[in-house]
Amino acid sequence: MIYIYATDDSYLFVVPIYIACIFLFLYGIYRKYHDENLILGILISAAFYIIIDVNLFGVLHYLLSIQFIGYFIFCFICGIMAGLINEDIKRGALSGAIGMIIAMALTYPYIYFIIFVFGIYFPFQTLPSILGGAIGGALGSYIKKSYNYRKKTIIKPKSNPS
Amino acid sequence: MAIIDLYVASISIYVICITVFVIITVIAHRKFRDSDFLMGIAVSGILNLLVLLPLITILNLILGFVFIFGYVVSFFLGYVAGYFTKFFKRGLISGALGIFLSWLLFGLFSPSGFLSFYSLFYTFLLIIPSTLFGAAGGGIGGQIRENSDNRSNSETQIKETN
Repeated sequence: MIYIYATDDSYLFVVPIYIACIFLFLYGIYRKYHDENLILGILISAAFYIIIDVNLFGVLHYLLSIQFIGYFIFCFICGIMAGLINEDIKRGALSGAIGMIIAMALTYPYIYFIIFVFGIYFPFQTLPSILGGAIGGALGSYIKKSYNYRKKTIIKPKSNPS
Repeated sequence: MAIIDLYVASISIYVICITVFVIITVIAHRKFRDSDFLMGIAVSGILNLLVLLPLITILNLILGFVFIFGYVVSFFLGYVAGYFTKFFKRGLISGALGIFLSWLLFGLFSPSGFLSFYSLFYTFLLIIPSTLFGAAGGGIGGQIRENSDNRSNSETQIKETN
């Protein structure tokens, strides 16, 4: 995780703007889709990414050789969490992928977001994270959709005896 | 002030905080009679604790502005708590209590974490703002869920009348 050190005073202006941008981005998504499940999926997948990243940060970065697969697997799990909330497969994939991007925007803040996330770390970390989130989200929403479909077909309405 | 005085003062403030938390939770539960309310508190509290425990150390706080990260995650998990509770006011209280619960648990599990309740630095920079962010997230989540529930109810009523 990248830390902004206290030696720079510009954080007073940069930090609120950066946080406001994240919230504006989320608000824009909500205004566009008007889907509360999409927002919930994004937030849950981002929170799970942060929880896993914070707790397993050392392990993930120690295993550099399997970093691609490692990030893919744990973003896949986060994406499934997001997908299980959305029944639409496209929305599930979208919520998983956006959740991963927001989580990475928080773990690599400010200018580091451009330098690392869309620069140096793109092939090893960003790409597997977004791919894992999207595929996991699609799979999660597919699971939910098929489960709901099965439930609807099994539970038939009782016929009226009269 | 001797170390023992510091510890006694910290523990007494910590116990007061726990008592206040329990009283507010019991009063709110008696008023709302809602298991989702308690579920929201538990989920947001435990998930936020998983972020706090590895992340918040004094060294991190001094060197980097990790508290910003804590605010945004508190907002996310407050939103999750608010979404569970389905109403604006309940979401507000549930989000705030959930994040506050995570700080109380942090005081329990982290070595000498209860000292944070005595330190003004921790209290004004971390505990109060993150609780407020959690309350804001909970309020927004509850409001969004309330709106969507009202919309879907009105749609089903229109379908039934047709």
